Amino acid sequence: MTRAVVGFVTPVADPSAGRALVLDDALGPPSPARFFMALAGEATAPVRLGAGDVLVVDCAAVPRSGQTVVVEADGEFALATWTPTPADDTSAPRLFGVVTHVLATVRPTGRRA
Amino acid sequence: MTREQVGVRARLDLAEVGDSGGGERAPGGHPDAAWKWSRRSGHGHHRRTNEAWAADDTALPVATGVTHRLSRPRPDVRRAPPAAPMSRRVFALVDASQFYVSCERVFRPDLDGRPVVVLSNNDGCVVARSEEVRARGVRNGVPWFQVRDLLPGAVPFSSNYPLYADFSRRVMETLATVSPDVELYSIDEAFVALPADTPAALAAWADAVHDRVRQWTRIPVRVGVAPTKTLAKVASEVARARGLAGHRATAVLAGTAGAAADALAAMPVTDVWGVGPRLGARLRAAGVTTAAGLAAMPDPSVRRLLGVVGLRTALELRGVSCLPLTRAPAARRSLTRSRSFGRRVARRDEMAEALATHAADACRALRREGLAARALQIFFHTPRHGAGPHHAASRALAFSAPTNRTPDVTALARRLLADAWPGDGRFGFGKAGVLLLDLVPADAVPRDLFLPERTATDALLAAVDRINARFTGRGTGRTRPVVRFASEGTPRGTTTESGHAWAMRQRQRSPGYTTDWRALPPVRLAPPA
Repeated sequence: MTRAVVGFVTPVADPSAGRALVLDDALGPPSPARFFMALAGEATAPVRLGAGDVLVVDCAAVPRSGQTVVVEADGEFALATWTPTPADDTSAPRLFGVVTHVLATVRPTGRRA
Repeated sequence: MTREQVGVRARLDLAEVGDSGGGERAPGGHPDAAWKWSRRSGHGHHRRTNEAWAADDTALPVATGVTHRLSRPRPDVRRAPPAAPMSRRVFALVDASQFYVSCERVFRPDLDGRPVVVLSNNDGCVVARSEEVRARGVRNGVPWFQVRDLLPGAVPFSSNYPLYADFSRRVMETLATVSPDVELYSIDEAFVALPADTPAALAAWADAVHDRVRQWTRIPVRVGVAPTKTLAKVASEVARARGLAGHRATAVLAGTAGAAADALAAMPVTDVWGVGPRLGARLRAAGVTTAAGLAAMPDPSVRRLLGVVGLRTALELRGVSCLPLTRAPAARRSLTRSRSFGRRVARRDEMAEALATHAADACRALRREGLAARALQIFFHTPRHGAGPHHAASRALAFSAPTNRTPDVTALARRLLADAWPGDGRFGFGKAGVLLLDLVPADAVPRDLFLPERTATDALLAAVDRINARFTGRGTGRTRPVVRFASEGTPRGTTTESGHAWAMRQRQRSPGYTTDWRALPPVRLAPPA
């Protein structure tokens, strides 16, 4: 989930060549399908997350079973674990995108914002 | 069909087109080159080749399988024989209908199927409406207070140009992954050139582009493919009808003789791209009411009646491409001025100068055509193929009132640049430009009661335009205007802010979902199952 740029082929061997690292590099090349969203509550799985933590969501990715995804449910966005559903199952929540990274604020144990 | 299958199929189709792309480019020195922002490809590192996608399995799980599949020929598409060279090209118009409404809906899934309108500055008029609103007979441009009672339950939004500009950029960058030849025509329309192919192959390509833009950017688009840009506009209308009928909003009017015949027979001639009310009236007087009628007119008659521009339109309707990718007919909804730099620009004062020059150019064109803009977008980026580091930036904001006054536009451009500038010396930028959005007739702009000093500005600008018209252009040996604004050429000059009331009434403005860290769309945790 936190794996950084691996195997991206570019004429410039290292996108950060000659300059200081910025966090963008860790997300891989910019993509028009990347959105940032904010967690509205607290989660304990797959990692401990709190309200306001930033989800990096890739709408171009096709989710694999068990991946953390954002779905549209009841007119809202919700975090979910992806399970394949038959295409004709209209009651299944609509996929928004795959969560690729989380920018989480580390909080003291036992107390979350 | 599952999403996975669709994704793989789309990737296949797009990869093939991308591989065979190419062709000539409009010469940079051509006067028309600066008019439209022609994008050969995505912004530098923004562009991902299919190979790059495939290698990056973190971001795109599906890609690993694709490299494998790419090496296999597709059994279902018969390639054109070698005798038909790939230099024959067709055009696709990718057009986001109700674009502003679609942008507002991306992060508001609760608005699916509900009537939505987007209002102009100061929440005055309807500038975009959802299909539900259109179906009730509400037209764009009507004052909101006149129709709000007709639309119970309608959700109004103030225009959120930064949001729309961001989604426009996303759509354009997505298109740059399917073809190296993309022309941004307006904030919600782009022409894409691609090699000619069988109707079945083009239809598969159009479907794949439709699905990719929808999936990646969440913006629904129509895709119309045809041998000419004017016919691509017609195809786009056919695609709209297909979309309304519940099909995928794509249409191909290419590949066979007479492919467009039915569509042209059904289309009023005034709906043809480039035929405005004025030419339409002349055609009606001559007994021509449909697009097919115009296409069938003998060349000399067209030329006599409509001039060379009309003849070009008639030829385009017959499938003879006369408008290359960087050129558009006169009726415009946005206006771009951009140019590549002679050398890399790394300092903000130089960038400000370049943007001010483009802004002044664009404003002159607006005044000449009697138009005013509601919003401004600036953009600049490093060369795509040069050495890194790469960077691309764009910012957009609305004016407090539609304007074609150079000081208004340069001031806003400077403000946007201050926000977008990454710091001196960090990047060597290769190109910059301004995009004036949502053009309206200047005489429709209400007079500004609270800023009387602007009357003097207008008189000054009119005088400057007259001087420049007399001493610049044909026969004068000069191409650059003789009277320019100091901001265009004084690197460190600090012009005073003109004290604009930037804060406008925007009661219903949506959050900056993609432009403000404090306004990210919320994701709740699903209740435990």
